[in-house]
Amino acid sequence: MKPVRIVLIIAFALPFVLTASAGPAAAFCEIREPPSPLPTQVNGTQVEIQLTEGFARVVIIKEFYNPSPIFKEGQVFFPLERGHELITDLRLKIGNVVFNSTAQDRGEALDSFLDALAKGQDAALVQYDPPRDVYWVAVTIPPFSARTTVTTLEMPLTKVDGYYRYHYRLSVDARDSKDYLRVRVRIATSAPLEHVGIHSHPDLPILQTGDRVALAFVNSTAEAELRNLEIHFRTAGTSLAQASDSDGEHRFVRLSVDAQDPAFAESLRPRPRAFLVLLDASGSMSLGSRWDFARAATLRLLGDLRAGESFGIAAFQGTTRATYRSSLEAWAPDRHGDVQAFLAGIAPRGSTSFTASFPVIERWARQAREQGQQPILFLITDGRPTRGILALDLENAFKRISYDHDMPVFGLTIRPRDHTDENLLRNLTHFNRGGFVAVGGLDLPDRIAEILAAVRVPVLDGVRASLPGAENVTLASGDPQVVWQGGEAIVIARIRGTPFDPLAVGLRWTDDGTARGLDAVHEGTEVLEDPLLKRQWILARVHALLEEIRAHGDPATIETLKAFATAHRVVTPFTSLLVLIPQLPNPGDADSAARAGDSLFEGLAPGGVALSSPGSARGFNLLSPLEQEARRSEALRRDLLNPLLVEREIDRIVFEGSPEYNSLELRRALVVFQGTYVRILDLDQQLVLVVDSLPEVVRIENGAGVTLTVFAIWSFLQVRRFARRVRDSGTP
Amino acid sequence: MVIRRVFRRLAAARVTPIRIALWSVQVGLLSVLGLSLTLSSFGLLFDLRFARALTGLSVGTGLVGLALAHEASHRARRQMSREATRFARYGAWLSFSGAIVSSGYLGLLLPSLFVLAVTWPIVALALILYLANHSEARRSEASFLSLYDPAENTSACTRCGSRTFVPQGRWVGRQWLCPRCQPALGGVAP
Repeated sequence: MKPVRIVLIIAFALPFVLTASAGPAAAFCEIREPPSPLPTQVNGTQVEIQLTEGFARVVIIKEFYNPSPIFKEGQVFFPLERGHELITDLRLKIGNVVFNSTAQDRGEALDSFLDALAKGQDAALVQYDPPRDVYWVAVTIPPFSARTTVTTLEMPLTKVDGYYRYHYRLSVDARDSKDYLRVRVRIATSAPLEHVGIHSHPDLPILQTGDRVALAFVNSTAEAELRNLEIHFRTAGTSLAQASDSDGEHRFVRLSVDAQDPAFAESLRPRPRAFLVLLDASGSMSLGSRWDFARAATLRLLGDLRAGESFGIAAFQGTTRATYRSSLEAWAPDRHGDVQAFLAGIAPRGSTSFTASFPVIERWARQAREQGQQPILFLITDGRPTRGILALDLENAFKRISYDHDMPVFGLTIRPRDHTDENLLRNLTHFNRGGFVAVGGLDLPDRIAEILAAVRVPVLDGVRASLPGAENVTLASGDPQVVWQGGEAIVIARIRGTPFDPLAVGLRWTDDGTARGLDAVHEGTEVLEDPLLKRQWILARVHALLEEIRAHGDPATIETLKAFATAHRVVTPFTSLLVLIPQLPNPGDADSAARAGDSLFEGLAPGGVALSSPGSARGFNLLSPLEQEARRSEALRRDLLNPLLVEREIDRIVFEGSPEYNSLELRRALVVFQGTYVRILDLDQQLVLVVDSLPEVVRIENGAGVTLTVFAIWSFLQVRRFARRVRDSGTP
Repeated sequence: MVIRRVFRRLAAARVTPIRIALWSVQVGLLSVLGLSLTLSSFGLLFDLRFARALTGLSVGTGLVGLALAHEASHRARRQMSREATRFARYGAWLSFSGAIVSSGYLGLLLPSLFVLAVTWPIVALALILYLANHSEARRSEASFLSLYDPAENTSACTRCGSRTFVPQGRWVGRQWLCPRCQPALGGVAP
């Protein structure tokens, strides 16, 4: 029965954990566990970041400590970027012993993990969660014990404006790590380093060894300054590297050529743009001149379009959506007045759902592609959505649409309410090849210029890799590939040969029907070795296979990916990494595993919530009537100060008990906000405010109070007049 | 003691019972006003500190109003002012209502009952002593009134029994004394 119990516990616990609202938008490697008086803590974090041309490898060593007397299962989430980071290793350190992971099929790994828990074994599992599009690491931690996870992430680096940029969310580590935080950054390139900078920490010394290696260190949370790490670097000229494979018969090669390379100069033609403007016209936009700024921003954005470029505007509010035209329209300056009139005809009202207009955006993106234009999505809003999908699901929806249509996402926040709103916009845009700006008001022209300057489009299509004379070629890079403004063309391949053999690698493309090319022919000994090149090839290959599966869903490709990812220890949606610890910390304690499951529910018992919830006190109440009224009043104020009400995001108001209320299909409703006197439901794509009747006693006491006040004041004046008369008359 | 001293000063200043009774009414109305303003603020505008201040004020003024009404009612009897007696009664009721309801809202009622439940023998003894003392005063006032002759405006001295013109007599403690019986006792004018 025990395994069944464990499976049941996990089955109940996982949905809870996975559907728990995502934390701050900058969540990275976030610990999730039910509320507990003694939550799992992170003793310390060590991070090793290795960067090279087009590739980053990050090893995160986190020491977790369970300060409570109960067995715990920590959940560590890695919301990785689609098409970018992948987890390529997991190890578990207990004391001085490091336990390595084994790569397995996803289902098998989960079964093994559950079996291990049932047997009371310590285990760690890293797995992909498809509905949430996150990777999570489950770690069991016995009472008063520490567990250290060693997780390796690998990701390709995209060249933007000639620079490779790497962003590490150091602020999360700095916030969580109690005792220590150490970060080591090592940049090693094949071509000479031309520039290295750390924007986020300009005072951090960068130590250069030779012309191809740079090092930087963060040795404390104070040095981290609670900021994320933003590293950028560029190399001089074309970069060529190689690495030998462990079989001794093959080698890996990489050639990267900057888009600004003279070889491309005559062939570069920026692709025309199609601006898809997604405009928030919800109730909150009516406050503080936001709508005026949003209209002005839209017009300014469109004003940047040139002949041959097109645009579409979709304004969303509540359940309705207004589009400028049903299809994309070619831009011409005389459209300005027409667009202005369209925007003037919209009155902001109702709730906010960023994804309600996605079908239109997808249609426009396809249309742009057919017209040979580059779709670029601009989201103009004041903050977070109030309805529809939220948090991580929302980020995933934007990732999907951006990835599917190869469409960068940019955002403009008009007078955002708080930093959380800005964070959300940052996540929706920054990780989808775009960027965002916050508009405060008069800075609008500058902010629009800033965002337009950040827009990049493809400049060269159909660039193919060329490896003349090479045998057994397995390309990991895209072929053909597209070169973006400020980007690069890259060839990563595995070919037969040793590092001592001559190497010929190049690129081919056509320019108005004329075949053009770029070739690099070198002696093997002239080409530098890059130890990370093999990992880069593996990662690129996994991404290529994943993309193929996404496009065709071919079972044979899935099997190929499973075999490849298992062989190279990469966590994908189809493979997992599992660490099993051979023996229990307390042998014979068969209930410890069950307790691990039970602990997931700790603090969530209905009784516990009821007892701690204000206003739910039952039985003898020692609060004075004034204190009770203060609580009622506070609850009422809290209800009415709900951001959805304040920002006028409500589509409909219904009074409880009314016929309209009785006609609501409450089973389908999602409770967005549950107050004491009001509830806000997400129902039928509307935000419905349900108002409960206020407590009767409040109204009676109000009435009595006002009446008594009038009586007292009137009587007082009468008595005073009478007293004056008495004094004047000398009555005893 | 402070209240007694204040009342003595009022008596010395020859403040009439009707004025004290009217003060008690006014103070009682203030007590009710404090309570009613608190009740009016229930709901969104409610502020606990402000409400506590108002109800606290209401309890305080209620107690003062009760003291004034009490004093006024005694003086009214001694000076045979029916109107003052009526207003003193109004003042007492208003003050009592304001104080008791406000203390209820303030949450003082339950703790007071708790204290009473614990210390009831002492409280009962104190109450008996007070009532005994008070009933003696009421008896002498009743005796004064029963011996009062409205035609001659005279009454009998509590000590020697001689009839005395009322303006010449004085209340000393709980006794109404003729001029001959007054000096040694330091009585005060009614």
